[in-house]
Amino acid sequence: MSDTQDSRTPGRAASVHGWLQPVPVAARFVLQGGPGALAAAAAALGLADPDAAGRTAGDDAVTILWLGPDERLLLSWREHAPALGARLAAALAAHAHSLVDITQRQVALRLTAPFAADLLNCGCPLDLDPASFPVGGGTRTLFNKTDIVLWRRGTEDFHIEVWRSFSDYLQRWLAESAQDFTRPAG
Amino acid sequence: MGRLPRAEAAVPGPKAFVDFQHDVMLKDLDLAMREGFRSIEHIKRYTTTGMATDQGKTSNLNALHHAARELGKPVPAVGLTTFRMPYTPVTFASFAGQARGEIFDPVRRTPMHGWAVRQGAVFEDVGMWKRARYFPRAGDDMHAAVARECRAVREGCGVFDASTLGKIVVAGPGATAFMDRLYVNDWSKLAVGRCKYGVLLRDDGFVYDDGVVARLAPDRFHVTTTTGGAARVLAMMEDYRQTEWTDLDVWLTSTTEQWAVIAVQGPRARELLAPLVDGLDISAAALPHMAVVHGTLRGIPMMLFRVSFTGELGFEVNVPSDRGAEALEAIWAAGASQGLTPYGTETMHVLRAEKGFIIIGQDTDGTVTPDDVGLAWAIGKSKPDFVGKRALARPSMRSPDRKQLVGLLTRDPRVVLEEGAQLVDVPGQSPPMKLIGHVTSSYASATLGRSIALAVVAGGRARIGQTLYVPMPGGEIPVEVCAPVFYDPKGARLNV
Amino acid sequence: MLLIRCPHCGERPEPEFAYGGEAHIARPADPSAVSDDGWAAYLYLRTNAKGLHAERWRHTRGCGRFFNALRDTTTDRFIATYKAGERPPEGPR
Repeated sequence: MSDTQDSRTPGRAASVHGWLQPVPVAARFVLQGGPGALAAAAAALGLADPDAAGRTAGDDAVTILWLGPDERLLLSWREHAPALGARLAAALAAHAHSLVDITQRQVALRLTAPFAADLLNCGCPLDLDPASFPVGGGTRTLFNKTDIVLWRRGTEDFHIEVWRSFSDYLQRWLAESAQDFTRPAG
Repeated sequence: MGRLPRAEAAVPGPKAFVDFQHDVMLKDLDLAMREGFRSIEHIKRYTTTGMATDQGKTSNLNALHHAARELGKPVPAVGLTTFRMPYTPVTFASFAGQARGEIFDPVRRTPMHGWAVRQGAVFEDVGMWKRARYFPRAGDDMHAAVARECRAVREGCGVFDASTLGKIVVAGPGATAFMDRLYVNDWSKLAVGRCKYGVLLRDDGFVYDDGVVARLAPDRFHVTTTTGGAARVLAMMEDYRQTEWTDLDVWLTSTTEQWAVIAVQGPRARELLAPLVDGLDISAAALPHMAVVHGTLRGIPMMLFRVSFTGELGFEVNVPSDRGAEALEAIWAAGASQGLTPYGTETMHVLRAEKGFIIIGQDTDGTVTPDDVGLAWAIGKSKPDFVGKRALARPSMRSPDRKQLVGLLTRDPRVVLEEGAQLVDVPGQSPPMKLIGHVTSSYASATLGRSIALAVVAGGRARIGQTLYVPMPGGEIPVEVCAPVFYDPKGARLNV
Repeated sequence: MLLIRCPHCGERPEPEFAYGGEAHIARPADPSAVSDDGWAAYLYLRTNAKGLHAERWRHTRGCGRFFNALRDTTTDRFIATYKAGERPPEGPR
């Protein structure tokens, strides 16, 4: 299917820069509920709920990001939404909760470069010093005029979630700003 | 300092400007010193020399030398005035920085944007979104394209990208109570799989947003909002949820971009869709107006709404965003040879106006109650409270003289009124006139073969049948007040 | 960068936050029992304090939670922030 370049994941910047790559995510859910629901869902995934601001938990199957006191973002790397959703719904049956499939609401980009934090700070006001935002940290924040979810996988390695229609804007900004870091000095 | 010799004679010389930005002249400086000002800072303030945005770049030394000579002091003893930034120009590019061109503002495109481009769409900006406004064919101007698109929907079938509508999942055991407290409607009796037109007020009683709401499960609603209202409605919901109604177990999630939405509208919509939905029964009995069902379209997971913003038999196909283009191509492949016609926001506006369906922010302006726009029927009468209910009880909100939504028909059917034009009830007035309302929506209706308009008019419903006047530079335009539904007032075309 | 201490997330940059007006104005439990003047006061009347002001903020581009802050409107200094539903701490007067 010849979709538009401008609405799909791999936009201009991602395709021409090795340091910014689209990331396939098999399924995404927003889970909201009390501590019991959050713990039950994590347990069903074989994980402990990251019950602290800005923390994540995960393995090679699922990553759970703390978005708010009663809100988590679940990223599934292999299992697709219908199966995972059914499994989670069963585990959550006894708990008041909201589980919403947002797999296609957003897209993911992986930014891997020595200048990654400095580049992000061209549009994101968050303190990205590893002492303030350590490896394994994740949070909703903003990049200029778009909301993003930022997850630090390594010191120079960030996973960025952005709503689908804002992806082009984000990638253009990153590509533009990166010229300050990739252009030869002088 | 260079200065043309000025005869100290009685004959006034030519004007000798010192400050080219503030037009300060030598005689102004002389006057300042005659008035007794000796400090250069005082002379500056008295004359404003050097106080323009150039901060003395063109004038300071001129003024200084002149003052030194007149005061009989050496130049350094007179001193410089303080000049302040920006005494060198700052370019607009410096203010803009990188925020220019494509990255000045996000440009949001729907999953079907590329398809619309290939169909030759002319786009318009709606918030940050690019929306297809109309689809001109060879030789079409907008008027011709819209007339053709309107006829296609009324007589055959049209297809429309409705993806930008805001969507919010309201879920949790407290979902029904939450919706009951927030919207004017009564949600308790809405069955799973059914939809209702929801009206949202602020607590001042004025219409804030609207949209179709579906109950997907006993504890789960799919709420749609206006395109422009998506973010602010979610923010308002979160405010009440977090700070007022903490007794409710309910949560909110935006799904605006989870779904691509393809509206298929027109008397032939069902026969076009039926072969595509993999055996799903979409007959009137199985899927009546204002119902929703899950299924697949050519294998693509789908939520299918039987809803209409056109007044025709209509469906809205919701598929996951990354398959929106694929779903639309499938519908297009099946329908193009049978007259399926792409239509844009302009045609959508005309069709809904023919039915008297309001657009928030166009026919409302933040001072309009549900009754003002004919939506009092939506209010759940037995509910003890909802956001806005108390304010609606104030006497001023119930006055029969409030501005009410009505239709207008120009005496000359070819005249299309200007949106925003004012209305008077007594002709021949000279300004200031007594204005009694204004035109909110106005179109040439191909369906009706004449112009139509919606307006808000003081005591408007009691004026139906009267003639009012629209004073314009070219003269007064007489219009007749009518009910704001111009087409199929009984809704017979919806329930087929 | 002005930093605001979110009660859930700690110190974060100001662009992540949205201002939400004066705090501790609860929606009346039974609006029908409130007079017209009382309802107008609930909707519109605010203290507009010069000095210490209890006000609502939302960490919109963060945890999304509403919380309250004590801020000095003359200096723009945040004296304290606290979770929604909690009483304001005693600030320096």
